[in-house]
This record gives sequence, structure tokens and C-alpha cells, in this order.
Amino acid sequence: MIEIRGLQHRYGKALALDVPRLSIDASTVLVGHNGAGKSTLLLSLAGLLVASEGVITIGGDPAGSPAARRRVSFVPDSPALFDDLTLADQMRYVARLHGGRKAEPAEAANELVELLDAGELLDRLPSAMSKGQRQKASLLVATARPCSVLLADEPTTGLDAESRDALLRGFAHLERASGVIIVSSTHDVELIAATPGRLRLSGGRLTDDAEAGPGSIDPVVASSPAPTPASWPDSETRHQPAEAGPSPSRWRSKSRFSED
Amino acid sequence: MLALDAPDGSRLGDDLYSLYLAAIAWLVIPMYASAVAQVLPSDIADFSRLVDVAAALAMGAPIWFGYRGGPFLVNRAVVLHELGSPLDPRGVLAPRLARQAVAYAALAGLAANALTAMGDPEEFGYRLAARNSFVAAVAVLAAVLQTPGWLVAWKGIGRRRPWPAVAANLAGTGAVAAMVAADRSLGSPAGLAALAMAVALGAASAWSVLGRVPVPHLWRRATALDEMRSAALSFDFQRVLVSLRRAVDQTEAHRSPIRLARPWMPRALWRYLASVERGWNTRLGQVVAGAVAAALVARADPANGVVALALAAAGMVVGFELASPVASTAGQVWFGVHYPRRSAPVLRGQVATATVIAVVIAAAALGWLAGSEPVGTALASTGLFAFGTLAAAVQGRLGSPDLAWLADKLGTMVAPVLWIRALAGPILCLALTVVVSHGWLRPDGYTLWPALTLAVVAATVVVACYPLEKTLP
Repeated sequence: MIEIRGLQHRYGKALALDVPRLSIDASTVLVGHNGAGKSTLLLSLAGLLVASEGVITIGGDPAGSPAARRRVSFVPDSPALFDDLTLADQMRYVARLHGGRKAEPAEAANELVELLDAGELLDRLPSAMSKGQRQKASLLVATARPCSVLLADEPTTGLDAESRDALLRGFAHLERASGVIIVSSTHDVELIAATPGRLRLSGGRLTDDAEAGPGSIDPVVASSPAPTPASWPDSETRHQPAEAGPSPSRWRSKSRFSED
Repeated sequence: MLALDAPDGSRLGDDLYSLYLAAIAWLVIPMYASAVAQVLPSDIADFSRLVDVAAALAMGAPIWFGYRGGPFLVNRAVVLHELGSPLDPRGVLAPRLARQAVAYAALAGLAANALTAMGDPEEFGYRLAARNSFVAAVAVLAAVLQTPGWLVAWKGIGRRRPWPAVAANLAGTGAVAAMVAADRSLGSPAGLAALAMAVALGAASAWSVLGRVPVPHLWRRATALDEMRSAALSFDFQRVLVSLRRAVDQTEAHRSPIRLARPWMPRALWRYLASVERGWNTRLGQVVAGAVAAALVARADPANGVVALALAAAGMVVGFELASPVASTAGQVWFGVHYPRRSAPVLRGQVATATVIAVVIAAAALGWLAGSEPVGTALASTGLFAFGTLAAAVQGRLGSPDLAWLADKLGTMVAPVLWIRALAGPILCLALTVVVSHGWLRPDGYTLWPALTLAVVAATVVVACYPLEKTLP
């Protein structure tokens, strides 16, 4: 689905991304330290950044082309919402942009509303939402229209443990029910463990463990110092050791808050 | 045209910012009206010629504006969802371009009308004002329509450049420039035909490239806008809070050794002087402003409006330079008026819009001035000097602690408070300027000069030294 050849991007003279060759055909999580090039890669895939060199194709079309952008839905690191529309209106509007005047939000998005317990947000304007709620809203709007690839830049940032687990369930549902390939960047151990494929970036380059088996925990991330309880109240949940196992069912089984 | 139903994402903050600048203009520009009137030509033919030349120059501006980013200031939701949809990008961008082109054209017409109104009312009638306004409006309309073509030419993706659009733009601009170079009036039938051709070619140019406007560029601008707002609404306040809390709890910075300080120097003052916050260009500007102010005070006639303008600007510089080190020496936190990094590209457009609004307001102010008694220019210039100095001190010291307190207490009520803070200085200046302009402090001649200057210095010192952080919760 996603093919990358000779991709390089520089900010000034600094090399931010150097990916000679890569194919992504299944949901994948990008991991790496700050400045590793995760967001740059996602923006390039979304066609929102023109790489200095190289070619990206999505479903055979160059990234950024109208055809590719219609296949790709993007959830940026900070929510991009229409200020003057309620969440329900935004979802309907985006659905109609893609499906015509009478189109309604995709079924997957409606199910995601249930999974994320976001029903009460539907009638709210973004200004009446918290940061975490805006993050949920951003994801719901992005999934309101049909897409083949969902790109999410640190989607769990700002979410509480319960919402994060709900998001993981939502991702699993999207992948299973709609066949959407989800490519996300994160520092979240749970999300890393729950995603079948993982790419590790360092200094803009894919490192040796880029082809690590799905479901395994990246040693660097897993062993990173745990935040203090005071600064990160839900750290207990975030830093549970993850079990091995690539099955998408892990999307469901992560949460101690899970209803099932 | 589904896109027409979309919200444009405008924010109250932008409007308030424009109003803020307009309020400042309303305070200041009437004072300078006489100076502007002095430099305008008094002959009708010369006046129209001036407008024609300005119109021709305005039509060259899109080359630069296209390079700087073009006319579209869309938000990230529009870029993501509308431009990422099957909709023809023309359907998304054309209404926005049309709205901007018409708005700028209307403002240009008003500005030209205001400029014409500054001329001799005995000589300059309605017909002349209408002619000048129309020429200015049409020229600016064509210019805005040309901008997308230049944007795609400069920032387009790939090697293929929109040469037909560039050629159309150059042809339109060339036609108008040729008329002006040939000393033909743009108000004549031939001139109007040239303007009409420029508009038509600009519209064709825009239509041909709107589907190719580089989305990454729009995303980058939209992100910069969001970052600026986010920075203005959070980072700025957090910085203020942190600074104040540090000042309240323990002034460690005052006790730490300072690299270049000498024992005989007041330490805090030296720290200010050696600060790395200001670059050489700022320092150079301060030196030039100081030298100009000194020369004006020594040699120039403050009755001249241009001198008054320079004095007010120098007063601002003096005010900041005075309040900041005094506050530092007194161990107080000082807050300069600043905007976050990378906000310049976004603010520039707002400043341009607000400037045009200010010109319109100036026209109304001119009418008021014409019907009133002449303002004592010398006193006004003194008032302007005081305005600048005290305003800088107020802006640097007041407001921010209150803002910090409110930001801490009220959370989401931060944005309106920002504007209250920003308006605090000008509101005080309004009172001061009114007092000076109405001569309520009027002495004979220039005898007020030293006394008022001293009073301003004293007030600035008091304001700078008052421990405002005590207002913190």
C-alpha cells in the first residue's frame, strides 16, 4: 500500500529523515526519541510536507496527489477541527465532502463514538472540549470519511488511561472492520505493544530492529525512566510490561478498564 | 459549492487584534494628519498622478506577496478535510480569494478616498475622489487576483512552473505600468481598459493555478498560525507565571554571578545591558532612535508634524529603555511587549489589514480635526513624547501580573484578558493625549517641556519599581 524509495528530508542542513526503501502493508507504529523523524515521516506520507528527495506512493499514487490524499486520513499531533461546528456537524461535513451532499459519517466512525464513549461530545463545539476530548474528536472526524490509511501522530497524547485503552480498541476495530492500515507514531508502550508492526527511527534513519516482530516491546522505550507519579498519575497503567503476541486481539485485552 | 458552507475559521482574537491596532491608530494618526497633508501634492493633476503611480506599484507587489506565501490564510481543518477531499480545490479556494480580493479592493478605494480628502477641499471634489478610489480599488483587485499565480510560481511542487499564469500576470501589470510610463491617466478610457485587462488576466491566472496551490505550504502556514495562537495563549502566560513565582519565592538570578559584570557596576543593570535577548539590529535601532531624538530636541521645530512623529517614536524607545533597566535594578520583573517566535508571517497580514483600517479611521479623524481649533502642535508633540515613554513603562509593567493572576484563576478566560492587557497602555495614553491636546496643562511656550519630561521619568520609575508581583495569589 505504502511504498517509499530514497526518501530524504532536511530542515536547513540538518538531515531529518533518510529512508532508502520501505514498504508498509499492515498497521505499523513508528517509535523513536524526540526528533527521530516520526512526525516528518507521517507528514510526508500525508502529503503535507514535500520531502527534499525521494518518492512516496500510496496505493500507486504519489503522496500528496489528490488521489493519494483521498486514500489517507490524518490525525495530527494537535487536533485540527473546525472551530464553529459541533463534533457531529464536523463528522457529517467531512463525510459529505467525500461522499456527496447526503452522505453520513462512516459506520466505523459511529462505532468509534461508542467505543470512545464520546456520545456526549457530539453536540459540543471544540472550544467546549478538554484537550483529551479534542484529541478524540480529531480522531472521530478523521474516520468519518472512508480511507484506506489512517495516519496518527501521537494519538494517545493527552488521553487518560481509560480513553487510551478505548482508543486502542477503536484502532483494532477500524483495522478489523474496515481494513484500514493505521500508521501511528507514539511513545506509548501500550500502543507499541498492541500494534503488529513496528518501525524504529533514530536520527531520521530506520534502525536495525526496524523489522522487529510485531507485538514486541522496543527495549529502549520499555526501559525508559518512568515518570514520577506526581507528574504522570496514570503511570502505573502506562508502564505495565507488555506481553508478547502479535494478535490484533491484544487491542482488546490491554485495559484494566475494559468492559469485556 | 459545498465549501461555501464551511466555516472560515476566523477567530475573535484576530478581530480584536485589528481593533487594537486601529485603536492605537485612532490615538496617534490624528496627531500626524497635518504632517501627512503637508507632503501631499496640492495640484489636482499631480494628485491623480500620485494615485496612478501608486496603483502601478501596487500591481508589482504580488510578486513579493506570492513569494512570501500568497493570499490564503486557511486553518488546518480546511487543509486537512476540504483540500484533502474530492472537491475541486478551486471550489475551496476561489471563494476565499474572491472575498479577499473584494475586501482589499474596497479598502484600497477607501484609502484613496481618504487620501484625496486630505487635499484641498476647495479644489478636490467628489469626481476626483471617485476617480482615485476606483483606480486604486481596481488595481488592488487585480493585484490580489495575481497573487496565487506568483505563489505557485515560487512555491509550487515539482519542476513544472505555471508559465501561462506568470505571463498573464506580467501582461496585466505591464499594461498598467505602460500607461503610467506613457503619462496616460489611468482614469482615462485607455487607462481603464488597461486596468480591466489586468483584472481579467489576473482572474484567468488565478483560475488556472488554484488547483495547484501547494497544500504543504498552506499546511505550514496554518500550523504557524496555530502555534502562534497556542504560544500566545499558553507559553506567554506560563512564562509570566514562572517569572513572577521565581521573583516572589527567591530571586536566584539576582544572586548568581554574572559573567561580564564588574564589581563597580549595578549588577542587575549590567545584566540588562548585557542581555542576549536583543540582537545587534535592535541595538542599532535604539542608537539611531536616540541620536535622532537628541537632534530633534536640540535643533528641530516640534511644531512640525514629522518632528512630532519622530518624537513619539523616540519616546517609545526611551520608555522601554528606561523602564526595563530601572525595573531590573529594583529587582522587579519586567515584561516587554513581544510576540512568540515565528509569529511574524501571520501577524504581517493582520498588521497590513489593520493599517488599512487605520487609514480609513484617519480620514474620519481628519474631518474632526478640520472642524476643530488647531491643536497646539508643540504641546501635542510633548504629549506624544510623554505618551510613548509612559506607555512603554505601563505596557512593560502593568497588565502582566494581573494577567497571570487571571490566567491562574480563570483558565479559559485567558484570551480576553490578553487584550485587556494589550489595551491597558493605549487607554492610559488616550487619557494623557486628550489632556495634552486640549491644553488642560497648557503653559506658555515650551516651558512645559522639561517639567513634563521629568514628570514622565518619575512616573516611569514609580511604575517600574512598584512590586506588582504582590498581586499574585
